[in-house]
Amino acid sequence: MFQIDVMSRVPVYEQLISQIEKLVLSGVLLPGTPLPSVRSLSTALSINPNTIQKAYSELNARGVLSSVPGRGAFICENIDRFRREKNQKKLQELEASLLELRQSGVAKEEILPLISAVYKEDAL
Amino acid sequence: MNKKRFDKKLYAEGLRQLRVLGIVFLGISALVAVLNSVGSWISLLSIGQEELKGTLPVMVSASDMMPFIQLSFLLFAPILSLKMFHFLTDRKSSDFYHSIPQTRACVFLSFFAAIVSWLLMIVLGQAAAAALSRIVFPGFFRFSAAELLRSCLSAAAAGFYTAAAAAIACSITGTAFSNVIVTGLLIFAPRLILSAIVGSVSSACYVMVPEKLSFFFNNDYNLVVRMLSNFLSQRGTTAFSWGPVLYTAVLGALFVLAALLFYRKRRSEAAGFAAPNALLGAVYRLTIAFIICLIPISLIFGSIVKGTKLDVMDRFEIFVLYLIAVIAFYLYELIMTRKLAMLKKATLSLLLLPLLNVLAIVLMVTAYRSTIRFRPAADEIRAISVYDNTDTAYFLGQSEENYFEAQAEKLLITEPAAVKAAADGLAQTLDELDEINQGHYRGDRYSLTIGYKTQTGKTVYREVRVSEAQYDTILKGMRALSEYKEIYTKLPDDSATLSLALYAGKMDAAARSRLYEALRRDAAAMDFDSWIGILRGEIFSIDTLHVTKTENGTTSSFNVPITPELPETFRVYGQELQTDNAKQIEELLASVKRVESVRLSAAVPMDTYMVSASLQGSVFSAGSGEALQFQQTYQIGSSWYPNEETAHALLDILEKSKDNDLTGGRIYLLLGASTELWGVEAYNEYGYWEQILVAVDTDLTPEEFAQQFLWGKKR
Amino acid sequence: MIETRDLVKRFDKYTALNGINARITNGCIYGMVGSNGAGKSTFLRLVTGVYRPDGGEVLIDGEPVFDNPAVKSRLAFVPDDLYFLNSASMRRMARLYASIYPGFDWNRFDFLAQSFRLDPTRPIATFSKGMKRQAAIIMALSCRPDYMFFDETFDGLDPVMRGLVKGLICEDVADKKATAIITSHSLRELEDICDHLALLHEGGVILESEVQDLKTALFKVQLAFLEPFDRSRFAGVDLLHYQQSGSVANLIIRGNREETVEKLRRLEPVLLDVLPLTLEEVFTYEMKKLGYSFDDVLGREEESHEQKAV
Repeated sequence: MFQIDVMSRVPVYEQLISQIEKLVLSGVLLPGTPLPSVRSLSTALSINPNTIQKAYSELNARGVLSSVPGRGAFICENIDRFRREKNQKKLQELEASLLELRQSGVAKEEILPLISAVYKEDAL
Repeated sequence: MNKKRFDKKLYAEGLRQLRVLGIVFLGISALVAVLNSVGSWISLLSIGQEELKGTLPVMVSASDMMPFIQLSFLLFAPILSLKMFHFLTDRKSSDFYHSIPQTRACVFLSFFAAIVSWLLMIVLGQAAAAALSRIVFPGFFRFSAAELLRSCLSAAAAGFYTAAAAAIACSITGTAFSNVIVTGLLIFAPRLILSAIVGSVSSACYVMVPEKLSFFFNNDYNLVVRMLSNFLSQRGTTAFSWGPVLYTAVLGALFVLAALLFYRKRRSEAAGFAAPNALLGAVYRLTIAFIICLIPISLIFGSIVKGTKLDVMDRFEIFVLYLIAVIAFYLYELIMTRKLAMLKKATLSLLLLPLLNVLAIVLMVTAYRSTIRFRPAADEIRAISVYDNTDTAYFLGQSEENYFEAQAEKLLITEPAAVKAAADGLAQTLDELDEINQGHYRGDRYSLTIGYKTQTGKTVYREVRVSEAQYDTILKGMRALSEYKEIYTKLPDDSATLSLALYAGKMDAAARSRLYEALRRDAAAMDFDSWIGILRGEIFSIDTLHVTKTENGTTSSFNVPITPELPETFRVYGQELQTDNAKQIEELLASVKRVESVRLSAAVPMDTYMVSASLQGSVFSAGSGEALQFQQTYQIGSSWYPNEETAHALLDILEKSKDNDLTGGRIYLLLGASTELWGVEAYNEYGYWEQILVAVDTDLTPEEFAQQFLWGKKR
Repeated sequence: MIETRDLVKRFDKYTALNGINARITNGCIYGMVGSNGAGKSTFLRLVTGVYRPDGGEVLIDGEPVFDNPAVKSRLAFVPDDLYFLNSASMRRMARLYASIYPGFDWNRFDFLAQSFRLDPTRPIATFSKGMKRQAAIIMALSCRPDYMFFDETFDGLDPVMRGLVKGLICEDVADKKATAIITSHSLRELEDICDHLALLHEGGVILESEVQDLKTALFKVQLAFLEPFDRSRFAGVDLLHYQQSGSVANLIIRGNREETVEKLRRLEPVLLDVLPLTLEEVFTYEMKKLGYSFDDVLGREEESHEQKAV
């Protein structure tokens, strides 16, 4: 399920968090889905269990998963808050990109068609 | 916290690790014992059946059965110990054994227990093999299982001691080589130094009796040293006694304790280093150098107390030896490091060497002076005990303590004249000490070892040379004691501790016992002075009974002549001889009679039943101090050379010997006879026996009888 | 928990450890890195009770380790210099261990021997160096220790084996909060398995931190501006290293990445790239700050990861 590259500069902890978040956002990991235990994940990937534990804690803090004592970790039923925060961030990034484009002389008219194209199905 | 001092599993592991060595050693020891047994059996077989009869079963001692048992504790025990603790010489293994979850004490004790276990297995296994390989030849050997076990105990105690010394060495040093050196030093150096010093003092001081020094100074108490020196000097082993065993075992226990303490203090990082700390390095060096210094010390000491000056050769010898000692001191640095800095470091402790030398010399001189200072007046002595050195019996070259003297030594003589004579004798000897030191021993002196019991109850022993008058006085004092008489007249009767041997006659063990019983009766019944006269004097005897008593590890013996003066003994002797020889006498009688009758028959062919007899022996009478000896060969058969008189005489003698009646008779014949008989029925039959004793009732003097018997009535 | 307080160890005149203070909680995989002679092996030997401290103390769960069988029975040590009984096979060594360690698990031993594909009846002397190390690891793990110590065990181990052993260690840590200390010359050997790292140099710890923190505390930012600029533009930022080449600047920054990046973005650069650093790079900069050079302390082994001037 998870691809961890130990050689990459990105810390394992961050890789794990971003992968889980991506899977949640894309709907692969549905709310209520159980996640592998720290133990099984650490054994399977040969990763320090503390690292995995920290990742899970962080995800817990972000509202992505919740730990039920004795039963393990599950994707939160309510991932709305998480989704909202994530979207907020993405919008900020979009804003920054747009600023950049504007600075380099790209006109609004060039941007708008792109928006329409992406949201083609939805009524504007 | 539950601190275990011993771990079964670790112990089992120790046993496992020593397994190969243990089995090899056990195998070698057992093999040696078995081969030894087979060898002595074979050598017994090669002796003729007849001769054998008198000696079987042969009594074998523990040292006969386990000839190289010394190897067990001199070699096997320390090697086992060195192997067990070898892990301390290498960083890797040392770290490993320091990382395991057992306390250091536990590791040490568990492993040492494994060493001791294998030691016991080797010793007992050897004994078992020796015993079994003797039992397999029934009737040949007799041994005492108790003695065997006691010998095992001695060996085990000695092995315990040497293994413990090796354990100390391993705990202190860190290389295999230094382990061996230190083990050797620990085992031998203290005793070597002590005995060298004691030896120097006692050889310079005639009056000193080293055997009677307290156990600490007595070499015999250190089993290892004693057994090694016996082994090297090919002396027979001294018998078992509890004192040395306990001493050696206690020493061993102290060593184990020391090894344990050193092991607990040990740093794992000391592995691979010969002397992990400077102090120990200095100790080795000083010990080795000091040992070399012992010789010059002895020379210097000798010159001081004897008042002699050292000649040029001596001075040179001293100089050279001191030089060698200093070189030995620096040897390790010179060979290993060759660094000047290391030499300088070592020099500091070199200063101790002259100090030790001076200390030793001072000690020795003090000991000498205090010994010769003992010069009590007669009234200061409560009692004396005496061992007479002039009257030691020798039997077949062995020197053993004389039984009577040994017993007499225990007596305390309080008779004032004797005591005074002893005191005077000591004073006299001390006065003559200078002469003695020069080597001039006066011929008119008797040598006695006297124990002076002072008013404090302490007994001081001195070797004394007394004049004849003093000797007689002392002896009189001794004879006055009733216990003294008893010693001589009440011969020991505990047969378990006694061993009997005859010089000439052949008798089995039971017969010898009966002979001894007769002797006891004679000794008890006899007049004391006569008895002493028989024992001490040069009396005519036809044989000698050698009695050995072994008790509590000490052996003493005495010889008794077989003489008509001891009536019971003499009678039983002859009786037993005849009983033993009975069958052969019958056969001989039969053959001689046959010849007689054949000879008398006219029709006898010429080539049948020629008998020749060879006779040797003595003719003597009771009370005579002499005997007539003769040896002749006679032909007493066949048609060609009839010798009727001789045949009759021989028949007569043989008949009489059957009687076994030796109470009568004024003349005795002690004969050794052999015959050869050949003819159609008995071809080359050869019968030989020794010692027929016959009493002859006759008015003739021995000379007359001999003439008649020897040379026939014709003359 | 493993705790050392002012731990000192001397060999004659040479001081190997100079007052080490360390605290290693249970369930931690603690890496200790340092060059030869830094004191790593000495430290491990003090923690496993092989050496006795010359000063200070070593405690495991509050109890001193030295000559303490109760504590030592829960430890397993794989030293840099392996020791095996003469001509012994793995099975023989296992028997030795089984007789010494109360917790020795024969099932685990058999399972591990199988996993590593080693013949337990073959004499270990015939094994290759790598196989010998594997044998030692199997012995140690079969004792089911609560505390495991590996002295340069991973250095030079092939990747498959590393993976296997890493997995086994992680399993025990996850299962029962076992603790492991691993030493190495090289950071690379440790960085993917340890959660704590300590840098030992000449008998002292000069750097100690959670690996997580190390990896996230520093980051590299590459910036470019159209207008001329200099270092002073970045006054509000904790700069560890600044390198400028024309209109491009490379910054090594300590701090919260998101906030700092946000701050930098407000300066309106024409180019802004954020790059995570390798652990080696982090170490280099942290050590520089403390006055040490990475090369001197840890040395280089393979290709350098030095910052290349852009």
